[in-house]
Amino acid sequence: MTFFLSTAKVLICMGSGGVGKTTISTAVAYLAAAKGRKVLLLTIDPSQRLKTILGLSEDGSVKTIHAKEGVQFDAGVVNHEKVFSEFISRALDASPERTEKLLKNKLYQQLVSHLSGSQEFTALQRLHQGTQNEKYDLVILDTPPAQHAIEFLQAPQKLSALFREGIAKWFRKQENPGFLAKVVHFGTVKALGAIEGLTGRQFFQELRDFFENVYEWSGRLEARLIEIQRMLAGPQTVFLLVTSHDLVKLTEAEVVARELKKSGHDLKAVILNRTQPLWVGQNVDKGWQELRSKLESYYEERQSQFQQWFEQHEMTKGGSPAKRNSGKVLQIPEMSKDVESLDDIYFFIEYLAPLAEISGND
Amino acid sequence: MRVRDPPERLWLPMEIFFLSGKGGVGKSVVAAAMAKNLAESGKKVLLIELGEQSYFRHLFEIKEVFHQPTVVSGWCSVALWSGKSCFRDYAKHLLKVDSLYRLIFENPVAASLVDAAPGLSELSILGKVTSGPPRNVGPVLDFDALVVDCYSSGHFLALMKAPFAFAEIISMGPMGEQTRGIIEVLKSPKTSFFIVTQSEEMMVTESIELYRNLQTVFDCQPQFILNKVLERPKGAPPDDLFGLELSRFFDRQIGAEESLRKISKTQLAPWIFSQNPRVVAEGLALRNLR
Repeated sequence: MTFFLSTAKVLICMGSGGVGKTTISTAVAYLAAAKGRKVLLLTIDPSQRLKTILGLSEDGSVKTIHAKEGVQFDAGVVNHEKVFSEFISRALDASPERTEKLLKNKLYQQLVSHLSGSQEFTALQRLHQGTQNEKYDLVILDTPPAQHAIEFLQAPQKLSALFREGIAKWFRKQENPGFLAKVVHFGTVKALGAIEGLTGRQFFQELRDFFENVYEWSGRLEARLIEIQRMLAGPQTVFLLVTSHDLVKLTEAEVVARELKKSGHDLKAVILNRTQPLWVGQNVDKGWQELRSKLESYYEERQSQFQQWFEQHEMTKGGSPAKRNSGKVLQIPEMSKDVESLDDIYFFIEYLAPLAEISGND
Repeated sequence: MRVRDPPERLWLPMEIFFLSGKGGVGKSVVAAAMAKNLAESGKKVLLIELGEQSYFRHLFEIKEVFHQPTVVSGWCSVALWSGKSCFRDYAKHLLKVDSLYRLIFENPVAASLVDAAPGLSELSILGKVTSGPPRNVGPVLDFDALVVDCYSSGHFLALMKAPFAFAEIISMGPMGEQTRGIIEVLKSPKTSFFIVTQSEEMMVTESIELYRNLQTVFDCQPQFILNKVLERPKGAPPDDLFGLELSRFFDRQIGAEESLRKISKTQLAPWIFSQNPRVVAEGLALRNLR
């Protein structure tokens, strides 16, 4: 019998924004490192406080975290712009001046931060890099903040759809109108002409320059996306799903869980963060009674709502017999304190300990 | 542009309220409450959510929220706008000829270009939000006030940056005109920005960061709304875990309020003890957030 914390090579922590994903990823990194794994934790956009606690900087450099009882692991922030620039300059294989010129292009800068799927791409690209580094045998990725966690799984396809329809190619060919007329459907010419009319010539020219550049590295990007897809589908890639109590977040989490299963990914556990505070049901003193009962019934209503949901939904039930462990649900109580030091992260470890009993894939 | 028989309100600039904040702070519920307040003050209000999936359909317990506004009885109108749906409106309006419009959206190259062109989606959304008076471009937006429940911090900043970034690159043509118009409305005193947060340090820090980042984009004065505020009971805290945790909660709340007030106008939204988002929004609406 093997356990996934000891065998998995890639662990991806999914969840909607604001559910405590980064903190939980950090605690899981600690648990795996305590089992003797050589762990790299990659986080995206961590809070200022967590950066301070872990000593991380935005530049993407990797730091060794010295936790309690001699446990240590490496951690770094995924610097989106840096990873993207590095990828492109390598893919372009161009002179530094040309690369520099591209990086300074305004539309390129828009692309880096705006293009749907590009944030997710750099996270996965950095994850892929991490797995290629022999220093590590487990890389944990805390996924980018998205309104809907499912976007993360769809990002690679979205990004490659950009190239599939041959936009870049089309713009390229337009330089030679004689040839263009032969290869491009008349409808496309008219349609793009209409867009040009809508947006203006100047914008369209910028767009053309931009896609011409894109064309040069699109092959490399496609190739890398395939490698990434392969890594995500690998037997030693496992997923954790973090969610919180409210029904909208639970519904979102269920969509992700279903999507993960549908695409054959291995969801090891669902972590329900910020359930009842520990004081609920512990009536020792009479003070502040009114507030206490109001809050208590608030949390109890929430808990029973969750319980009802829990019993009705498939996410929380075990998967197929072969993967009996999938869908294991762990609950972490609400902490009234902010995470202020590594000590506060240890609070989560106690509740995450059952992860160590979930089997791995041979 | 010619407008046939304009309702009177077409000559008055529309009020626009943008709300953002970290995921999970209750931004959408606060937006719904704000919309209800405005509607109760006699205004015709449209509550807009951005993106592909609707949250308000859960809140209002309705089947679907569309691009076209739907009236939620006793509340206001609600709509779901995405980059694509807004660009469609813009294209339909400018192209006028239906076949030409269909040409764009039925042609795979053109359709995916609309999807992929950097910034086009942001500009389409902001173009649509600011399309009412005084600009009056595109289909008539017959409302006095818009409450826009925007994306969370990072995405929101990207949304706001888009017209300013494009104004630098593109000065001519419809796109240039469009960006200038958007910027003018964003800077108008009729447009206001709200950052919703809770007392948790992480959320407060991020909200202040968002405030500063927005200010580097353009000179605006976002206000804060501190959500889930509790009133401290009189007397000493009870001598147990509840007392300890709640004392911490109040310390944190005082700290949060202080830090926010130092930076901008801050309103407090009480913690409504319900699991039903509609009930929470109704409870908040009683507090007249503006």
